[in-house]
Amino acid sequence: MSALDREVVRLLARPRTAADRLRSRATTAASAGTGVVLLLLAAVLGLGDDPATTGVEVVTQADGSTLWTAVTPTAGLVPFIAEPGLRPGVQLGALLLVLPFAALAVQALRVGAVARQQREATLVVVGASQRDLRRVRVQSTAADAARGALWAAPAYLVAWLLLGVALPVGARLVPVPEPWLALVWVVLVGLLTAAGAAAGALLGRHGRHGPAPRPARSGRWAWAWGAGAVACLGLLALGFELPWALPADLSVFLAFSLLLGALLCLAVCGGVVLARSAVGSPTRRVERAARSGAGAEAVLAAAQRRANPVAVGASGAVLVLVGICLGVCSVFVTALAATRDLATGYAGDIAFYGGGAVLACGVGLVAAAVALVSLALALTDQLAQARRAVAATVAMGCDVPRLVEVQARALAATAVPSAVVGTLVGGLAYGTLQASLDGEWLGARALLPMAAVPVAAVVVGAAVRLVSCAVAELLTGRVRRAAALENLRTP
Amino acid sequence: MSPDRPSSPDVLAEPAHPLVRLAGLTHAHGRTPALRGVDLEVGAGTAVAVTGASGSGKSTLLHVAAGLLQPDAGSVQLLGHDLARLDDAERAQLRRRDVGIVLQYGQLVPDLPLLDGVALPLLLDGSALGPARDASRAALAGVGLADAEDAVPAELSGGQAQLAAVARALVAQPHLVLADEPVASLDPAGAALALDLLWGVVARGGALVLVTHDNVLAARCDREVRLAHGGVQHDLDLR
Repeated sequence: MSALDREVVRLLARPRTAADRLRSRATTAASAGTGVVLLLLAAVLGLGDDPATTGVEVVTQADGSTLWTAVTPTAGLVPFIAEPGLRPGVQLGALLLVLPFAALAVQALRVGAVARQQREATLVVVGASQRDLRRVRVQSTAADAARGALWAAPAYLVAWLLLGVALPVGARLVPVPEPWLALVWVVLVGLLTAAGAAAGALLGRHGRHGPAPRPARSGRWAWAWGAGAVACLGLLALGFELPWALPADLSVFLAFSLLLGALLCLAVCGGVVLARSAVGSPTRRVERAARSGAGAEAVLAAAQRRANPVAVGASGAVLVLVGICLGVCSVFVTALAATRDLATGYAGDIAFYGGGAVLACGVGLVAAAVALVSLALALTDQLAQARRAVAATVAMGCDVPRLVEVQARALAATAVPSAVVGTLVGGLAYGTLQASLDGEWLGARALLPMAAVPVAAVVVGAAVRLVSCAVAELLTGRVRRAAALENLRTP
Repeated sequence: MSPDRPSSPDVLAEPAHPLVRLAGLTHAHGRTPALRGVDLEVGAGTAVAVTGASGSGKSTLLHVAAGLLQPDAGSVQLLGHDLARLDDAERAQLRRRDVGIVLQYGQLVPDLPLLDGVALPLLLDGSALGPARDASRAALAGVGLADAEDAVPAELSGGQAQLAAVARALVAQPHLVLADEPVASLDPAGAALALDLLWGVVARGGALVLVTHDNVLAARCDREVRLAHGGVQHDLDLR
């Protein structure tokens, strides 16, 4: 059997259409983002206890316990990273931040799926085997992932300059890049390239039907219930302080593992529910939209979501996590404000804990932005694929501003419920956990933070709706191109 | 045109041996039956027209014969090979070396310059880029598209794209050509040119299976197989 010449593989894998280029850039960006986050994680993991690096000295007391004492920090890292005992939280955050980039990568690989399928079908006609097609896909995705991984190191240096060097001592968020981080980078380039190659090979597993959007199967509903149940069990275990019954070394590890597991399960649960809701019966959707008087925009937006259940599910899952993060922060900050008196010397506490909450919210917002970009990518890709139908819709009298409104609705219909539900779940769960730990259910310390949860949910919902509209406005150019009447004559 | 081609299959040495043998072919698109027990044999040096009303199963027959679709029942033998016994890579090799396929539409790889698009069967077969492009250039010149080798399919008219598809089907000098309405979008001069090239395969001892609605074109063939409701209505010898 003849092997495909390398030059031919490169020829066929080269991005040629606008969709190919978008897929390549988005995959590269997702790989670079993942690389930066993993480099940050490695840098934090490698900090160790050296005061010169962390700005904190660990003193072992006479009774054997340890005490962390601030020394003049040379690295000037923010306490959450500098103090070894607080680092697991940052590591957990960094791990979770990989998720939106993974969602972006999943979406990026699906860009132009229909056009790619058609091209592959044509190649099959002229004698390409599935193995040949897989080689082309692997070459393409591995090259994009490798390019992104190569960008990760320069991006880390930029992040270090902006979020490290440029920030005041004691507030720096990115550790100094040590020489050994270059080795980690080399390993990451290999790993991310391999992951890209594996993703390319997996795309082929869709076989004859290709990677085109498919309606969710009924079995996935059971997944959501299962994930939700596991998440509840994890949170219950945390609530009953089960991990803390173990030796100290194990308890922190187990507690964070449980928290990470529970959050991931909640995200999966949310994502599956959203994907499932997106692919509900189109007839019922039209009826519902007609009853609500929402009109054609709602029907078209529902159709767009229905065509992208994977993007809806993946982005929704990330936004659920972001919502959980924001909900927890809202309770945390309110409880802090309710129990600390600024006038009596606790301002340092508020700055310390409040700073942590702001940092967590910042990470959440980055994740939300990536998730929304990922969803927008899916919507514009679908518009490009369906440009003839879109042009026909315009020919029937639906103008471009209405089509932009459809995009905003489709984005908001996924983003707002995900973020709001996440905020409610996160806030209420954390508030309940805090109240149970404090043993106080009715005092201001318990009730005020709980009251902040619905307020936070409303604010988050409104903010996400606004961002959805803004992102939709950014898509106007693409909508206009898809709606061009000359698309009516393209095949 | 094709560099370093493998030797011809044995079937061509035995004219009586059919290049295409379809037996009891049955296929359905979902729940809609498209073929119901079709039998067909096409020998070397023969041109067969497959005719029938729209929806009678002509294109499906061609796709199944080419190994692009798997039949629900029945067997397909191409150039002495039972497709069911070949794996995907072997079927692909058979297609790129010995079978030229011309489809109705959407057959050229979008955004790939015509020169490389027409060279694809050779490139996929492991040929180096240079010789494959030379063969492609010759094939394009043969259909009058020598000046369009840098054009991408979107820059071509429907007729030019069809001629390019014919050039691609013939670039590897196949023994069998399966063509679905190959001249439907061509002007009379273009159609004559394309048909002459396709009949060249028959003249070299190969075979041509042609799906068409055109009675004049069907009359030029050696046989006409008419399909109705997925079955063979009649099989006429026109020689």
